[in-house]
Amino acid sequence: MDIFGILHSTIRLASPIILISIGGLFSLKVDIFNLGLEAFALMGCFSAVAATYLTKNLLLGSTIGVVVCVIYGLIYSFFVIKMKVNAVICAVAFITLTSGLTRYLMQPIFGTSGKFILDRSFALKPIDLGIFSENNLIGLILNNHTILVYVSIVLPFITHIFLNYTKYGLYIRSIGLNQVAANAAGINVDLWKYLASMASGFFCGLAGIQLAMSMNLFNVEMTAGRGFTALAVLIMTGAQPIPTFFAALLFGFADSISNVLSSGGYQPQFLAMLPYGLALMAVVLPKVFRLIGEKRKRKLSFIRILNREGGE
Amino acid sequence: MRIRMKDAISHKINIALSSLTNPVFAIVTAFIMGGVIVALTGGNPFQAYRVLLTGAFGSFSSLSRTIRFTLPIIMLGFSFGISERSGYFNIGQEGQMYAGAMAIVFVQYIFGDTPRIVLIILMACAGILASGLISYVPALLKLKLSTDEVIVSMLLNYIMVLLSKYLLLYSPIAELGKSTALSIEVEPGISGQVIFIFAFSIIIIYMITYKSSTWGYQLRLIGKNKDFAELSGINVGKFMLIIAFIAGAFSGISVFGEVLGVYHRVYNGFASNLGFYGMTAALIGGDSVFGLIAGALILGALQSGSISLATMTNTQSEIVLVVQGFVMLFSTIKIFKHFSCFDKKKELKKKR
Repeated sequence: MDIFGILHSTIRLASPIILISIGGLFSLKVDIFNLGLEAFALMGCFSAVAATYLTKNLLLGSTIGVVVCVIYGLIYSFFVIKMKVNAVICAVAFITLTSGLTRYLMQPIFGTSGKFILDRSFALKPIDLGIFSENNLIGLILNNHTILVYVSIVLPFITHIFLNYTKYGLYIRSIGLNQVAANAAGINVDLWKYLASMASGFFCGLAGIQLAMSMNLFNVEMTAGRGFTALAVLIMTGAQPIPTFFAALLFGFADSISNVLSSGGYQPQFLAMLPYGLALMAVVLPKVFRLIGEKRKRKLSFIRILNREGGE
Repeated sequence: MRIRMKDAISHKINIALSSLTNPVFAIVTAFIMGGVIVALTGGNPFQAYRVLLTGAFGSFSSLSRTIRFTLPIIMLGFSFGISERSGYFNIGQEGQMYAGAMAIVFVQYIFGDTPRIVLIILMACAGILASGLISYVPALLKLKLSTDEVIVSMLLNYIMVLLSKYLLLYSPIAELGKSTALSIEVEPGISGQVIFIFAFSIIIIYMITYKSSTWGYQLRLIGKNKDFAELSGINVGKFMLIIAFIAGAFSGISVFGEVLGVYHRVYNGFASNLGFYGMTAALIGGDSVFGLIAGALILGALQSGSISLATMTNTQSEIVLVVQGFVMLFSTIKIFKHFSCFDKKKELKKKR
């Protein structure tokens, strides 16, 4: 087993999760629970592949894919904010709708069903970074990735700076903390909610492009629960960008390990469960630790009270 | 005084109208949107819908097929409806169904030699228990650790799908000599009529329990106002756990009918998307059981009609999923409320 290969594919596989979870972070920050990330990313995959196929141009196709996702985010937030639809129901509706639309539209657009492979020349090419290309540790892990992988590595840090050190970041955080107060402070709450939701769609679109175009194919249900995984990551890290980045790397590592092991003859079903099981742990374990911590604290304070009474 | 009476009456009419307008609006809009998509992709929406309609209700065999698709959706709708009212959002029905199906096949494998009646009862118990337990876990986690049950049950869905795929490929319940994921044959079949009577009696029991029993009353109370229910002496958390188990049990009943009545085998992906059908039916129905049954009938008809869609027209049967998604999206919009809001705004403007 080649450890550098595993780490290389860790970063490659983590990048869609990072992008999706940064997208979800924006909508969580403005208090919209976005279970529909899965649907957004799937739509991103499909629209990018379809637009590239129709326009015969990767850049134009990818732009259209992202625009479609941004519009998707806008529609989602319109239903949640203006129409007062329950966010979870709206998200499940979007998931069903997207699953149906992508399956249905494959026949009219591509003329096949199930799986469509684009011409290889349209694939997102890995970039050879000159400085790292020597045969050293950084070069082996970080070189030869697509542009979106590099974007996804930088993005959490930019998001961190944006949220914590700019005026607009403050607006978004304040809406998440207390909408009424934000409104009273003169922030247009609905506008920022729409914008954050569009940002959510934008990053999910990028994730979709990375997923689909790096392999130049579209597959039915190709996001395979990455949206839910990203949401689990966000719940675990409390929607902070930099911890989210590292947690997503962990999931990329799990994906990569399960890929390697399944080619090594282990049961692929159990290995495929690994990311989901990890996500489940990510949701449950922090709460367990918190519960234990609280219990211990209570016990300690109880003992302290007993001691004090004994001392008197 | 008179004005108050008038207000009360108009309020009641408002409620009755809105409970009818919402689902009708949702379904009509969804069909229009679906039609637009069919037309945009070069199909003929009127022809497609005519084929759907005749495919669902055209003949006796298609009608019975529609009922066959409707019954599990009703059960899943109950499953979603009661759990939603108790404050537990049950979207893990797909995983619950796989768990139930696995349990049923395991009973066939272990107790295959016992008499037919005993075997059927054992299978029902096993299926209900397994589905109920899978539904119980997220509820327990929600109560004890306040985790989000939606994300937990979605992740459990994926895990259950993969687990059942593994079991159907490599465990003793897998059919020998097959490379695809397929179970051994479940021998005791039940005829359609028996299943229909069985389901019908469950619907009746459900309606009676829901409308006129202490449990049903408590459930409705929690659904309307959780804090009031807590204050009036209902242990809401414990109630939610019980309801979560019962909700899973309904999924188990639906899978029991599916496996013993229709498929007689379990294959991988037999319940994909079926869980969301139940949710859609419950959303169409809202508070009323008849609404839920009507919603399930529409969805069942869509499924049943879609079988002949791809062969009779150039429209893909996946359009059914699209229509279902639109129904879900529009079904919880209080359209009547929005319109009455507009009216009030107009009145205000007139007064000014």
